[in-house]
Amino acid sequence: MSTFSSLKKNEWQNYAKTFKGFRPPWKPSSERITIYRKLIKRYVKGNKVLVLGATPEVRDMLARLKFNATLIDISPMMVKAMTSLRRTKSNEKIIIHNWLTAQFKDKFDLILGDSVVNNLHPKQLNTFFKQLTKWMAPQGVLILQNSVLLTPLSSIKISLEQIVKKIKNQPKGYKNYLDKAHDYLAYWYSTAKNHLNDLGKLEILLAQLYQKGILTKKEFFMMKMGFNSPTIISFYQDKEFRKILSRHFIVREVSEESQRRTYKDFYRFYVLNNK
Amino acid sequence: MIKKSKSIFWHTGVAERWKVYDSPGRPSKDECRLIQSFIVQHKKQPKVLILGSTPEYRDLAHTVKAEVTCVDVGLGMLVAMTDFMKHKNKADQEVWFRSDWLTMPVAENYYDFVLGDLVITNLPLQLQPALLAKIKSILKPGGYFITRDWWPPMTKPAIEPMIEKILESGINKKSINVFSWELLNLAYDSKGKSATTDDMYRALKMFQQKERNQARKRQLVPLLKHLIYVYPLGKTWWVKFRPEAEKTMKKYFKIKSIKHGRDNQCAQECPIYFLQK
Repeated sequence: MSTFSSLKKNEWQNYAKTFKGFRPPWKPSSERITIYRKLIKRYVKGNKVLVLGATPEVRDMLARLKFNATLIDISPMMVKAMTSLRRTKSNEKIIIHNWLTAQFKDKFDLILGDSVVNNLHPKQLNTFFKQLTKWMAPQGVLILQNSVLLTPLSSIKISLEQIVKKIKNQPKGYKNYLDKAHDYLAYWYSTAKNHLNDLGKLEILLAQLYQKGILTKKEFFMMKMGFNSPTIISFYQDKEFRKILSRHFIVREVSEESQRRTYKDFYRFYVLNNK
Repeated sequence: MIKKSKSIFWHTGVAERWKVYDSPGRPSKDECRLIQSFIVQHKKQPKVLILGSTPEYRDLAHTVKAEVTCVDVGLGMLVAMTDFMKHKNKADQEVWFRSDWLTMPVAENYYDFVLGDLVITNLPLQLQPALLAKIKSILKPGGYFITRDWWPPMTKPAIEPMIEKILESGINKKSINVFSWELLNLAYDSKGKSATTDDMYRALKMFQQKERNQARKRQLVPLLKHLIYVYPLGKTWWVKFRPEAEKTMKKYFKIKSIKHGRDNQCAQECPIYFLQK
């Protein structure tokens, strides 16, 4: 197992305890689930589904749709914790394996991944997509929901100083969870190097400012998300990401989650077929 | 359906009780040594699939530097049994499938060895051929299915000597495991080709009720308690007599060898089959 895969496994092992407290966009909103349902109805012909990761909302939705689901995740602790958050029961198969090396007997009519590509190192992408093409049935569909940058970086670029200024002068701007998430993402994209960054970095920096007395307790807790550091996430510009995808797949549709600024700027669904 | 769900419930408690199990309920050191040396003789760095979470088999597979895959119906079981491994740190490198053995979604013709500890007897008789067929499909040509099995007794053993023996030696981990195994042999129903923990308990309970010696009757109370802790009610094993069992095995495999450990009293009743695809 590569070092990056081990690092991600440890990260998710830690998130097993805290994931329950997260809210959209870090986990699927009901709107995201509705979009998944629509896309599945539109494109999927068949019953065999492979879920990348253990996202409980996605597994619940597939159970309600009576799919025959198999789940693959690298962390048994995460799967256990996520399974405890499920609202429906199903007889899904669970595989604890690395996406990059797993081998399957079956071919899947649908492969679904909620924010999975962001958890891979850019160097792992080619291997990962090659794996997915092998696992897909001839008429199979791959649905990936992913964070990508959709606007020019200059339009969302934000520094720590600007965030602190905003906390001090316009705290109402952070009242909404999604607006806070927007600036976490914006800061993450603004400070990333070589397509990688630590999503937990901003929270660490804000905690340091709180310890120094620059931020009040109220201000710090208003901004706190509960990320562990490091939470190494990879990012791509939308155009760049589509180019990578088109090497392996035919892009059938790209959908937006909602008109909210956070989703508009940073999230897309990609519906893909094998070439 | 009720039996099935009860059986799964029984299975989930195995991890909790594992510390009180001893051979023949779990593989002995010598049995593991036999399997390990067989693997070493046949393949370097093999691909090994383990049916269940048996820590001894996972350890021996890591010792031979195998690529290890485990298939169990409970993810919790896989996690919990890791605590009983000597090479706990290697569990990270294992691939786990939470799936039943009959439909496990693993690649065909992929594994050099499939290991299982008393696995065939866990499935009802009508499903046992399907399990063997599934194992055959995932083994490489020439690959081996290595499993400990149970040869039930042709004649029912008597309960008195068993009870004499355990009351004499005292109840300890070793004696309660051997006693439970002997009681399992007693509970074996040759017509139904099955044995249940309910029948084991019933046999001991009836003996206790009939006992006239009050001191001895009292001595049997802790034995009943221990028995029900080690082998709780609700579990069934399905097992055929040796000729019939081997006839089924031969439909799918060549029986290359049958070995027995030398370090436990019941080893003769627990053969290790080395079945080649």
